[in-house]
Amino acid sequence: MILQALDLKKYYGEGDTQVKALDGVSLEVERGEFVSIVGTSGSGKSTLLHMLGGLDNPTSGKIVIDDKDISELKGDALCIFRRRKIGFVFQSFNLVPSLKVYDNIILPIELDGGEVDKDYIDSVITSLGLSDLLNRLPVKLSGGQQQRVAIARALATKPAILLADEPTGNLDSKTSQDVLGLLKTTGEKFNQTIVMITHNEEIAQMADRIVRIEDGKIV
Amino acid sequence: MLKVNNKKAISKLSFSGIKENIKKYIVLILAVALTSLMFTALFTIGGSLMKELQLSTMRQVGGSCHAGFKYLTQKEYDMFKDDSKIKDLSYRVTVGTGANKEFNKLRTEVNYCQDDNAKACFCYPEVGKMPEKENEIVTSDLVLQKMGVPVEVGSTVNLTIAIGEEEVTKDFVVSGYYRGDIISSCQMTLVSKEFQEKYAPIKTTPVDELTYNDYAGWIMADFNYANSFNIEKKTNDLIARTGMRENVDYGINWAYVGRNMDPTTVVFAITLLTTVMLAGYLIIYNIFYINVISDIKEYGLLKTIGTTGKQLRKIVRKRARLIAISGIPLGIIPGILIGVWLLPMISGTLNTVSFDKGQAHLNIWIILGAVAFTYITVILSANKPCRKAGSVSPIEALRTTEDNTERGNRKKIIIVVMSLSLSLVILNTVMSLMKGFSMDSFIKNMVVADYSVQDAALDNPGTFDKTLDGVTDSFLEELSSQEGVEEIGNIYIYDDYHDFDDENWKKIKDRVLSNESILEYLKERYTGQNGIPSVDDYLESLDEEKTLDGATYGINEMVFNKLGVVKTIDGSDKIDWEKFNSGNYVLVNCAINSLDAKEAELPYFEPGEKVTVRSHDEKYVTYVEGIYDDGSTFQVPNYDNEPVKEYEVYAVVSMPYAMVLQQFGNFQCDYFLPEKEFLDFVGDRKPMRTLINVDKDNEEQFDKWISDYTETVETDLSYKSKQTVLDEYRSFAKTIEIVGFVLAFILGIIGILNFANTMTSSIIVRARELAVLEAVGMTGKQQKIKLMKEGLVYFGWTFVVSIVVSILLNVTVIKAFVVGSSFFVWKFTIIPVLACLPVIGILVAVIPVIAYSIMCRVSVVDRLRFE
Repeated sequence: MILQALDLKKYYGEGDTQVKALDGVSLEVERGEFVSIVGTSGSGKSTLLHMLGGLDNPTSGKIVIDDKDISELKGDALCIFRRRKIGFVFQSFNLVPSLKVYDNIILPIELDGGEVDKDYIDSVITSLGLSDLLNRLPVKLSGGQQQRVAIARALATKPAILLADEPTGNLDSKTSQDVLGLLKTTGEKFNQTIVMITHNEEIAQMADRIVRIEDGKIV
Repeated sequence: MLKVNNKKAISKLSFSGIKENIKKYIVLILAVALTSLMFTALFTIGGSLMKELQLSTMRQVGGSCHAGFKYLTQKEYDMFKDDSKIKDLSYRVTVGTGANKEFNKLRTEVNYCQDDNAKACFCYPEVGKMPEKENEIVTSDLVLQKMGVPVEVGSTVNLTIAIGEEEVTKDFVVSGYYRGDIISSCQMTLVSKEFQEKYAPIKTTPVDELTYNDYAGWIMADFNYANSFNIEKKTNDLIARTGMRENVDYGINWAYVGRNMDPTTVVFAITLLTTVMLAGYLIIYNIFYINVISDIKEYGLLKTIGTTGKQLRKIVRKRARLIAISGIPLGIIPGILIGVWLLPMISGTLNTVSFDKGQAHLNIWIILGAVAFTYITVILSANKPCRKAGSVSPIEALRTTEDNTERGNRKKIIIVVMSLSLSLVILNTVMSLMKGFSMDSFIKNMVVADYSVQDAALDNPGTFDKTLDGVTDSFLEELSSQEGVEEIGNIYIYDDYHDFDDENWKKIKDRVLSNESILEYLKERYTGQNGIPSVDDYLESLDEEKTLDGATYGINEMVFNKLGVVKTIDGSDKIDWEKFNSGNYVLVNCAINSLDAKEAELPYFEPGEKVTVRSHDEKYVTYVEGIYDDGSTFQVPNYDNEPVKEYEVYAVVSMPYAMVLQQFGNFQCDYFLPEKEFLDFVGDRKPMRTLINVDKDNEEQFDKWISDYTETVETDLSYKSKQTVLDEYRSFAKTIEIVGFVLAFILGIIGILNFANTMTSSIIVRARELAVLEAVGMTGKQQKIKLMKEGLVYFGWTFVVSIVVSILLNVTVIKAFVVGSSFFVWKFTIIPVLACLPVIGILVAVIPVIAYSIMCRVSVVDRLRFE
């Protein structure tokens, strides 16, 4: 088992105005699995993803990734864990505008001071069809291209999990299909665990398993 | 086009934008306040100094009114007193002049003054009240001191007043007194109406119908106009309008006449104004621009919903105005305080009034001026950001969060680097000047001996009628009995003019009067406009008279040895006292005479040439009887019998400033004779100045003696010691230093603020980008290092620019300035910049980290969500 979430709770505020964004969520994901989490806006799915990625701390509960309890990690330690074990793909791509495509992709490796595994990166780039775009700046790319770069970046460090937050939210339906297809095949090729949140049923169907979340609880 | 009333909407948007981003705008308001502070300080100092100079002129002239009519009868006074265009009319009635011997050196007029006139003439009692009884007077503290009477109300003074042909001697009681200024041309003593009516009743015959000269009983009327422009024309109009006789004696207060401002002062003032404006511009523009960029989404949104570019510009301009209105008042009070703090130091280096020196003269114009300049700076600074906001395209605005193009970045770097460098460069310039302020050359010119003793008023530039033989026999006698006196140097002078024969006059014309820099100099003064003669007219008049202003000095060996030698008869650069003292030789000076002997040029005469010197001995003066129209007689002196003697020019010399008669004319053609020859031939006189050198062991004791002696025994004498001159020097140096430091400090703060603001904005705008980096695993430490590196780019450029510009300025402008000045020597320094750079380096590294830490208070998740 690569990921285990135990009774996760995230409460905001106190008393009458208290909002329970997550109210006791438990979830297990196997290595190589592609899971999509589906829910409406405000269901708590983004909060869950942020917890799983170590971007936010739960009010209570436990998250174990690759046998490491990340709820115990704080600050820079959490950050370092994140760049080694987790890859993010955001709805709005979030590429660094001043860096060229290739530099964006290897950024997490460089941040870690690690050696770039050239063969691996090349095969990721090839799989995602980015070979011709490596010297461009993000602004020169289409949305689909940008998201493929973001996926490549997320895969660069061979993370334990790839977390995708509405990865097709800013793309048209044709491009969405293409990008997601690539995500799925690349994931399979590198035996990559993927957790994706979306509100789009059609997109969700491409995953191995669908988890539904409503009002902070898995249903 | 339809005119739409959208004022309300624009106002609302302008306000709400500021209210929403109050933090961002507070920085901007502070920047405006800082600018307003600088302008207010500058205007306070400038305005007060101008006022002080004006006041000093007024005190010299003796009044603050715009104009006045003199020597009037009651009837004449009544003719114009109700004219509607004059105001503040007041008068005094002349009575006489002080005739006690004490007043030989302190001219004193006796008048009856109306209260308002006394106020306008600076003689209204500050203590006590105006004279009412016949035996009451008001006078200045200087007069009372001179008379040896306690400066207090109720003191009794025995005054002799010359009234017309008669002298009245009486005991008067001081009913009040005021502080007199030695720069005034005369001291005013006020008597009561009763006294005036009894001894000097108002004249009834107009002055032009009288055949004799009599000072008593005239009405002197002073008045103001609505403003001080063109007073002369207004006065002539007034005369024509009221039917006043055309030859009425009128006075225009030249304190109000736009005197030709010294060009150096003008350049200096403009430089200061521009610097402050530039500094203000740099900071306000930068912050404003960044604010607009970070608000660009708002502007894009407004454009999307139909706001035109023009309206957007209006909104931004309105915001600029709101910011100006809130920021400017904040800077005014601190600005005034800083100005008031610096004023005495700056005033201390100028020769103005002798009391109430360095006081702030605040008025509404100073504040309005500062406000106007700050406002203009704000509006100018807002101009470009305004256009940026107006030209925003909705799509672009929604997409980009920052002007992250290379050009945008370069612009930001330029602004910050400029403002940081400006402060460093100014600091370095001030420090180089200070370092080059040469004690030695200052001392060489200003200190020629341990002590210099002279008449107290001799070196006061405000005194017109100087005593040129003020060193008394009694002092010289006392001096000779003092211990430790090593050397005594007497400087005698007869100051008048020299006349020349045709041959010598031709030499002067060829050498001096046709010299280009002399003509250049004369052109500035003789403009040929406003009644001033042209250069040609002036030269023609000189040609007719064949005379030049000049003095004949008598000097002894000690003084002789202090002279700078330009050239000598035997070609050496040394002059020999024995040879000079033979009585056959004369020394001459130069027309252009820089204080450094080596640079003296343009001698009137060359060594070996012959000049004639006129004796001014009293015994050769004869008197011719003159007759007034009414038959009374007067004595006219005739100098025709004064013998002249021919001397050979031994050398061309320059006399240090501290020795000469410190006066100012176009030409000063001086001859120097040995002491003995001077006294024998020119006339037996007392020294103008006596120089004294004292041995080290007795210095302290001598200092005490001379200080006591001049303060208690012979109060007409003053002394200047090497120490007092050095103190003067130090206070002058200190002033430049403090002003320079304050300026550099403020500019430094502006530079740092600018940088902080640029960095902070850039970090805030990139909050999401940084959050992404954090999400993909960039640790806080790595991010901080990244930001620090960005800051160091600014630092690197500042480093290069400030050093390069400082060096360039140092070897060009400062060098050029120093060459023309006698008190500075050129010294190269870059140490101030090097000393400050580490501080700036640290700040530049620390500020981004602080800004980052503040930003980090918002969680990564929230920053990621923020779009």
